[in-house]
Amino acid sequence: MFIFLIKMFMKRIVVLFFVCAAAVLLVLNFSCAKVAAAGNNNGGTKDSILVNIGANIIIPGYQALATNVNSLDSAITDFNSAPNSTKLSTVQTLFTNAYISWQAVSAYNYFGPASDAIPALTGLNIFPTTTAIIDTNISRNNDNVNTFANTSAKGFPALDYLLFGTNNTTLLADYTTDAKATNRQIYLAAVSADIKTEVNAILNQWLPSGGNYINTFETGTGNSISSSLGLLVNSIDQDFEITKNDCLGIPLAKIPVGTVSPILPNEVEAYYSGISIQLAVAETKAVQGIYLGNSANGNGLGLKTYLVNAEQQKNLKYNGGILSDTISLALTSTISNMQAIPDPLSATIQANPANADAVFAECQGLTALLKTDLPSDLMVSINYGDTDGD
Amino acid sequence: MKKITFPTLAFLIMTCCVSCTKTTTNTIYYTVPATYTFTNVNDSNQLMLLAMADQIVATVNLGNASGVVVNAQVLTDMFNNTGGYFNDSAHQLNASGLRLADYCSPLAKTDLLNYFDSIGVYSQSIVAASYGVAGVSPSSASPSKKYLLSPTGIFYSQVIKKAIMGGICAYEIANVYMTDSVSNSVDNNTVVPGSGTAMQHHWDEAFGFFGVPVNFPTSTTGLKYFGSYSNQVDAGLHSNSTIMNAFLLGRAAIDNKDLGGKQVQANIIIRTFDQLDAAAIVQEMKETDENINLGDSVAAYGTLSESLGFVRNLKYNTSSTRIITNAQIAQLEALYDNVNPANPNLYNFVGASVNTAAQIEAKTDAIRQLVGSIYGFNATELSLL
Repeated sequence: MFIFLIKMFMKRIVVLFFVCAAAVLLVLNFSCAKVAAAGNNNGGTKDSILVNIGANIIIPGYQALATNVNSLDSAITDFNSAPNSTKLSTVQTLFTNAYISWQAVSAYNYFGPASDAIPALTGLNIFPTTTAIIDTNISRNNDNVNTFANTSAKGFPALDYLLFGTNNTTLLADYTTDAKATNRQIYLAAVSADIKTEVNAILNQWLPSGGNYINTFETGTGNSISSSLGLLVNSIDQDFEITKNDCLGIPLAKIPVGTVSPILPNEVEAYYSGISIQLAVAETKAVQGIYLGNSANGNGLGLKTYLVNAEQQKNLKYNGGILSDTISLALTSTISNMQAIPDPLSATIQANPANADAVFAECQGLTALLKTDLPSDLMVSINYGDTDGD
Repeated sequence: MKKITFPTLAFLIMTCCVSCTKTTTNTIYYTVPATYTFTNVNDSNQLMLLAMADQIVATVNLGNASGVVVNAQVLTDMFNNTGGYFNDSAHQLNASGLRLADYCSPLAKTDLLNYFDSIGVYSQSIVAASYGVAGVSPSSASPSKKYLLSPTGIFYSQVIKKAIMGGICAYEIANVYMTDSVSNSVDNNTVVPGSGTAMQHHWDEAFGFFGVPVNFPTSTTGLKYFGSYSNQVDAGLHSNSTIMNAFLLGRAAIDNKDLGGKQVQANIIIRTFDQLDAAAIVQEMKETDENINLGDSVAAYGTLSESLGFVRNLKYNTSSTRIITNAQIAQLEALYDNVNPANPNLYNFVGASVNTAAQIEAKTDAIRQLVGSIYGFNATELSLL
């Protein structure tokens, strides 16, 4: 407990502080035995774990996404010039590639350039898309996808509808012989162009040749709210909860929406293209990759490295075992069980949801590890969440 | 980090003596506990008043279910504690003789009674909310959260809650307890068992209105009203330790007849509560931006309404040390709606069919920057609020 000695002179108060043996720690002192990390320091000292995560995992992830959305956009331009089934097939394949590579980097959406951008990069994946708004926009040839009213009529979910919204024969007719074919092509091009613009802007912000956020990230040492570790843990937790809640929970009726919760199979991610599980797996694998530090070009320094160091320094135990191993096993198990859920998820939810229900429960357990136990051992505070209008 | 504005000396270890270069008369040493565990603390009245506020807000929120009518007279009666409307399971509120009305700034009382009337009218709607039409609409990101909105998109439930915070809690703390109620002429000698001297008791009552546990900020469990908001803006304002230290130091000063010290701490509390309300406006801009990024216009109307409540609270603060002027408050209100600042149209503010997210966030940033420039929050602090 703090004890203040107050020494009162006639007019002035001079306060002496001292701290007794059981003092509260004033400054969170985070040190890592195996890597150089010296407090919060954006002045130059780099943390080798952050270097690996930033340079070998995050930037390559954004580069892959940019490459894929650029290819997709070119293919869409080509498709619009003379729509046929071959070109449609190409566009649909490139869409799938792009969406999966989006999901591989969505865990970084809640800090740094992706989060500071206006519109925020998360706006590229607001699902379920509102098809009525898309149809109205096409009908009226309104292709300004960035008005606020179009928030759920743009991005990957909009492409999902525009490219897979009906069977290929009808779809092709919509882009060729239908009365609104030209408008539809324009809207398709606008949605894709917006994705390409936004993604490339974020990549540029990270690169040394552009905004050089990579430097900020690598030198953001320590574990405060604004440190790279703090931002990263909050971001991956937030994104994983979306996978848990929005990709699985709400469609499976595990999360009450109103007073009655029916299953909502139409509200899965990628409802039209039917790649919902592929996306959920990609996202969870991305979380695993950051944790193990080994995805993309990673060299194995990841969140687990921080955790293992903390466990060794402070002899931390978790339920009689070791948390860092528990998390590793939970990630592997969740991914494996998730992969076993058949796509399209919307059909599985209606026909045979037992596996998906079980994976949802497993995701809840993994969330607790990532959102409570991991941050606690790393002394990182979780500061996103339901501020319920206090 | 602890932030004390008067001069401090370096840390000493326990075994060290303080060296007194020259002891003048009236040198008093006293200890200050790290938690609010003084003798004779009794803030049970304030805890009951906050419980009454909770129940009024809960009653207002019944109107968030479409078709459920909330009776304005019931809300008014709860405010005046007549009619026995409180749920007495936790506290004996109905027979307590306490009335929120007695602890309310006159300006806030007028506003609250008007807000109750509005709730009474709008909750009669059976349609969804839309431009010019009161009703209930759900958040798009969290559809189980429903909002009763006014014809101009204002979520009065939150405006009411913020008016209670500013017009009752902060008003009482900063404008009543920290001024007349602990002035040097107030009795600080006669100790009443269970509540202390009059001066001690008033100080404790002020603490009771803060809404924090006795070991705040070590514990942040059960934070209410401004206790909760202090914690939400603490990264940018450092209000948790500033306010808590001032309460601790002030009560210790009173206990030891250090009236000068008491005054210093009272002034810190008065000033910090002013800044806290301003910081809360900025915090709601961040939440509004997040709702805009999610495309959740209804939730955005909710957080904008929260900020509006905090803006109106600035007027309830009658302290001569209040930073913002009346003219600046008018400027701030005009940023919500320059045509009708007294009843801003939040649908126009968001302008969903014409504005991009960037344009909407430029408006929230204008509010953020104006508050920042008036209250001296720098760019880093603004980003942390």
